[in-house]
Amino acid sequence: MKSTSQIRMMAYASLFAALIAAGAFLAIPIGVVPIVLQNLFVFLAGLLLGKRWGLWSVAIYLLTGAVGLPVFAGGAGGIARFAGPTGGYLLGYLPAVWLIGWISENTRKTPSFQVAAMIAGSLVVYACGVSWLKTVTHMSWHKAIVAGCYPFIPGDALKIAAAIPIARALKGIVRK
Amino acid sequence: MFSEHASIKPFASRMDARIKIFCMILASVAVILGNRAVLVALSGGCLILWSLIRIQVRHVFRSMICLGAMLGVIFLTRSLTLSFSWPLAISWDAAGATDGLMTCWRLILLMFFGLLWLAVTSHADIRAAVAWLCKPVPGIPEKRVATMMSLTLRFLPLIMDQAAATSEAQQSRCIQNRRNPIYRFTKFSMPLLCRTLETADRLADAMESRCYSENYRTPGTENRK
Repeated sequence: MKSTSQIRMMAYASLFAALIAAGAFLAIPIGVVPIVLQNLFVFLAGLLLGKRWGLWSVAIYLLTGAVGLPVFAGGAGGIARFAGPTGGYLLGYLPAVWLIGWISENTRKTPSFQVAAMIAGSLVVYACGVSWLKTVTHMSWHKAIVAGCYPFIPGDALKIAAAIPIARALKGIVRK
Repeated sequence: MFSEHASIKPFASRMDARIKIFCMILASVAVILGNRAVLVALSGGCLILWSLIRIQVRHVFRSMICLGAMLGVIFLTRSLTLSFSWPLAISWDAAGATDGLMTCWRLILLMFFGLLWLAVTSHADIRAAVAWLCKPVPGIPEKRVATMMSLTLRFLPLIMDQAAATSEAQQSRCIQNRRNPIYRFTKFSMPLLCRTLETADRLADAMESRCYSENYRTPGTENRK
């Protein structure tokens, strides 16, 4: 470990990995379906930590779950989770957080670019998740999109809207 | 779930975590690619292991709630066909239902094998096995991976405690009467993130002041040489 900043970023990345894991259990009851905060923390990891450390945080989260520790939704873990219907969404977090980090690092730090980054990240998650859901369950594209995409769009829109003020407020706290 | 390994058969918990990871991967591949006969054999084997290891059933049912909802959606979407032309009609597809059942069976088996692995392996052994597995992979600092996994597991209960405290504080301020979901999201997440980031800062300072380095001994695997 070479510098203070690297130790700090390692601690932040581990914290965000833990937040992503906790996000599967933290739900805010809005309307009929409670909205879990997992995606929100993935978005924030990309926005606040950047592409490199954001990717580390998601990779550590996935690795922790893959080796069996109970960090995935429902308190389960294991490499088998990736073969399940939600495996694509989990793996989709990796390119999504990288993309969000890359866009936020290479553009101006304005809300419009941050929203664009998070929308692009969500699209990547849905692309990976729905195509894997279709493969695992042998559903048609239409059914896979109906079951694995449409119900989550309103919640994701709320999370994107909430992530902007949160990222703005936390930018001063995160010491890179 | 986190402390379940304390009450299981000694042999399974003493077995090297690397061998157990390898067995898990093999079992997962067999469950995904196997036909009905393979699934029956694996289910039998899984049941025998469960009875030997004596996992507490209430933990399993708690884990099954989320998966059960997902499996229900998969089964229904596979077995029902909706006609979008007028008049709207829903029909039952027997072949789709059979395929749906097979898919659900595979997914339940995968989850049961995952729970078995979790029940017989301690966290320290898992971290050590991960560091060992990452060692030959170029570009991946295995000690950093193990350290970050430890930190992640250390942060988890802290976050859950702080989330509960934040939620109680917000409820005492009648947050439930606010209809704006973005307001509720922000007022919940912001204090939670501020507090946990401060904790991460303090931890980073503590690591730095103790001259943290990646050249430490990994517990478990290195000691078994």
